[in-house]
Amino acid sequence: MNDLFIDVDYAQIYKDGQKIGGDVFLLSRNPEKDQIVCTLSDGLGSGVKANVLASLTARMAHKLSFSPMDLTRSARIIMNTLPVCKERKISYATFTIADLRMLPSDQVALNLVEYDNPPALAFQGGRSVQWDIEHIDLQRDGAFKKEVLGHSMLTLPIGSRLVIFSDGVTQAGMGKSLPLGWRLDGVREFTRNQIEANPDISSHDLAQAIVCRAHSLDRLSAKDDITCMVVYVRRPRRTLVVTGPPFTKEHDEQLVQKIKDFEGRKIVSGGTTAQIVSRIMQKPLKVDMSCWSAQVPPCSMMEGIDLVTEGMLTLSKVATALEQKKPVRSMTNDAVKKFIQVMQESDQVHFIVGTKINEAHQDPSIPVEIGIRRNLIGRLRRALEDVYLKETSQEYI
Amino acid sequence: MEKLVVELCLGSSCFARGNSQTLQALEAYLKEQGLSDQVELAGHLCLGNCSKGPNLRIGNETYSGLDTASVLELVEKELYHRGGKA
Repeated sequence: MNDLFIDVDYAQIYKDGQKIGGDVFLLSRNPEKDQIVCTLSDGLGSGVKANVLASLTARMAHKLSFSPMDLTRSARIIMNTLPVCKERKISYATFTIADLRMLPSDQVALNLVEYDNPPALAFQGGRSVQWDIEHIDLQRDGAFKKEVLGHSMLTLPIGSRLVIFSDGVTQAGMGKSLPLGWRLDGVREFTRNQIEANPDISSHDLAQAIVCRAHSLDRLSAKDDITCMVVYVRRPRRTLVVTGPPFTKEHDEQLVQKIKDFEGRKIVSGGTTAQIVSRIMQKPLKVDMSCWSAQVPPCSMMEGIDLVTEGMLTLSKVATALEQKKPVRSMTNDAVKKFIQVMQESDQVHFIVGTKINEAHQDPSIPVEIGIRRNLIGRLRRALEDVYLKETSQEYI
Repeated sequence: MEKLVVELCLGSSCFARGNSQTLQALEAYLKEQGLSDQVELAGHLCLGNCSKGPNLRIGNETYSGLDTASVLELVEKELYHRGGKA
């Protein structure tokens, strides 16, 4: 697995009274090339019409950036394709495309194309970074205005952030709390303060903070769609999940060594497995009766392990909750909730799956969930990868 | 008087075979009867006797394969017995 992680997320608030947004954000990962493309487009006007323009633009920009085509040609194609607005007789949507590729040197190569959105901001830690932008005049026939693309190539080292937003952010508060709105400098200063106050702030939380601030400047009644996306280049947060006793007893020591050697958070899921780990590590296990529910046995506590849960029943409920994308805040305070919280706070999850079979688990009178561990881990991994875009790996012991 | 310790196996098998309901019923019973200060409920990880489960221990006695009603009855009896002695 990679030693570098690109954390991308966005937050959005629609213009007051609208049920659909005119700002559209798209994100795709191409794991084979270690490439991520994210696009933010703002369509002319608001509501359905703006959404159609922005969706078309974002989707085209997105697809084209995965092709080897020259970006100015891509931009022309996009503009020639957009439907013309009946009132304004123009076809128009802004866009920003960030094409991110992991480099072997612990850095990320950024290819940034901007058209009429507020300029993106970059930060290295809490320091704002300036760079030169190449301006490309499209000179398109029949264009209703001068069309200039901004193009930049940057390398983002670990700890860098890129912040991209629609004009709903920079114009927030205009005519209300601020005569000219929040403006680029205001957004830059606010973002810098947020990073300084919380140097590890996730993309999700930073985007949310910026959008909420813009919304409050608009006195909680947004005058335009407010959208912000954040890219954060950092080390991955790793978690190890150990479940099931090894097939033969001789491997018990080896399993514990793997747990000791792992750098990151550690979960042991399974009573017998936990007892093996406890015996070899010589750390006592204590059942925590404060958190259990009718469906899920309680957690236990053990020094050196972040979370100890029961195995099959808990994992099966975790898999179902992940597949259904159940929000954590609506869950009862049991082992499943704790497990899912750790998963959500991880970027890479490695499973060590013990393959010993407990014959009593094959009893037809007990729930079917207590079936075959390997199948269950397959479900978990699929849910983590497909629904939450996490990287996962596994080994059997 | 020392508390009566009721220790339930909460391993996957015993939990699924009935100890989940028994634990809920015991908690409700102790609360209803105001006996929480006389009984300590404890959970235990798998004791390796899954095929005979659900397993639990009341005081020094180990029991296997009991349903919720029988467990409540046993706890009640044990408490009565202790009360009588005191």
